[in-house]
Amino acid sequence: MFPKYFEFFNSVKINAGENALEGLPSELNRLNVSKPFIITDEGIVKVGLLDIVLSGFNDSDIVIGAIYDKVPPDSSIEVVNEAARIYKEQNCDCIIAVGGGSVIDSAKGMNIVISENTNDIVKFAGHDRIKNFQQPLIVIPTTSGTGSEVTLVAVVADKQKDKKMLFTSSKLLPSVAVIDPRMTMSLPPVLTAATGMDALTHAIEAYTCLQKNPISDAYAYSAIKTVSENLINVIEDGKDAQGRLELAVASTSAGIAFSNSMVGAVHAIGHTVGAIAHIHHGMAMSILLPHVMEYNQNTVGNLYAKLLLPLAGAEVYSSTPKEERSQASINFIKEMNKQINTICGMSITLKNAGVSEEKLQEIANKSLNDGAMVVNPVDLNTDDVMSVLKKAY
Amino acid sequence: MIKTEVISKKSIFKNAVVAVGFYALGRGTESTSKFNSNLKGELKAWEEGYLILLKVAPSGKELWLQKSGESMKWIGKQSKEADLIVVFKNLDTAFKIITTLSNVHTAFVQNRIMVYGDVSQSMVLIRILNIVQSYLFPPFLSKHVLKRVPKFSFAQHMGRIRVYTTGLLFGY
Repeated sequence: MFPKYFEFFNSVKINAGENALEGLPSELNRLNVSKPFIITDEGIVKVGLLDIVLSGFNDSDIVIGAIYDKVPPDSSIEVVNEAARIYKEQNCDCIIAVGGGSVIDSAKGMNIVISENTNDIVKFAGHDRIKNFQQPLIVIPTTSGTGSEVTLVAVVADKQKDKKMLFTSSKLLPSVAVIDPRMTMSLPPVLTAATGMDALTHAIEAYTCLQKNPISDAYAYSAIKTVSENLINVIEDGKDAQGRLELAVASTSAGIAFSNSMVGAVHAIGHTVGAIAHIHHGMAMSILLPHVMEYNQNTVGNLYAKLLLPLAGAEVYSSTPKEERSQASINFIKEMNKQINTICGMSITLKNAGVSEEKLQEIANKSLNDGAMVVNPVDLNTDDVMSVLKKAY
Repeated sequence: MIKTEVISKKSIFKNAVVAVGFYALGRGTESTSKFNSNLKGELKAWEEGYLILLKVAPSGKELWLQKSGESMKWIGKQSKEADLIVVFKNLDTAFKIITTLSNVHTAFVQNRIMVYGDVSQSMVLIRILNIVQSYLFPPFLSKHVLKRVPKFSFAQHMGRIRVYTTGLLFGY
């Protein structure tokens, strides 16, 4: 159904493909900046990805103002404040984030601290509280999953209060996203699978949740098709550069989709599973996706039916009776999970992933407080979430 | 002809409807919080004195609620900042929600509502307001407002009568 009203915004310039990193000096020039602050984590440095990024500045006049590689697995207020302090001390004029979701969130968080000239980022938690335009931010993602390079969201943990703060504002959108296949070539099979399924979940939820709109649908549909066509191949052959690039672009497309149409119960429950049971976000998405789809099926089965085409291809779509297509889409995802499990051992049940059964009730209670629940097409209460968790267990 | 200093019109009718709606919501929340066990359960997430503000931008119609003991109180305008602020981006949005032409989750997905504060606490508020609205609106209206319309027991029907009488008059 065409929405009566919707909003769509994406201002990120996307440079994607071969030697995209070599375009960095030119992008800095376009943005009228010259002293970047690079934020990353130790893992990225260790595997040599930062060296590849730095090589992009060869033969240019750019002087890197500072390199900060102490971002932990979850961004925090302490990291954000420390990075912002060094940024100001070194008189940097733009931020380059090299890494996954946590690095990108840290970059967005430090940007808030700098641009709002604050030492209390908590004041800006929530929606549209950021008033000042941000420092130029270039994001170079090293996974093909979060889509954070094109989203208006940042999550920063307040470790003292043991809670995660959500910041949403169109001002948090990066200036540029640089998608270079070299950045994901060294991603191991399990992480490739997990982040790929995260991207697929973003796209499917963006296509089927209440905030969907025709423009985000186009991005989501493209992402679903590309992930389905490439993920298994790339898990099997990590050196497939073309496949890596297509997955990375699919992740970006899915990011644009869900940045504008939100995600639903898979993420609401998955965030809580990750927070309580400490399992990888992408793995949680992969496990929960088919079960939440089955829960939602009575309401949005028509949309799942449409998705059989990008998921499984034209032949399967046309040979599947119309009334069976919704379930066929769900079965396709279950089969995909099984294939991934066979190839790289990624868990396909919560139990196998290490979630203890005693934790399920706590997960069910707390997932209702995740903002993503609002846009799920079907209302869930604690009992409903428990039923999904038990099926996924 | 060139006009300058053009002052925008104010909609007296919509402002009046929103004022009445906020009154009903304030009294309804006070009343429902005194007897509904689910609502009382949700309130446990908030500390004593937790302050909530619903406001309409830019006209400024406001509804202030505060947790007091095991229930909610409708209080007057406060000088301190609320813990959780929900802003209807314009009068039209607030009017449509109050008259059931739209609802909170639709307004949210259309980006017509802003939330300042902890998003997880806003989910508690949404559930509380859903409970209150299920009492304020009869079923033929609440199906336009709520994602899931609860089936009321006899006791809950009595609760609805209470809200419509002493609730709306005195907040009891």
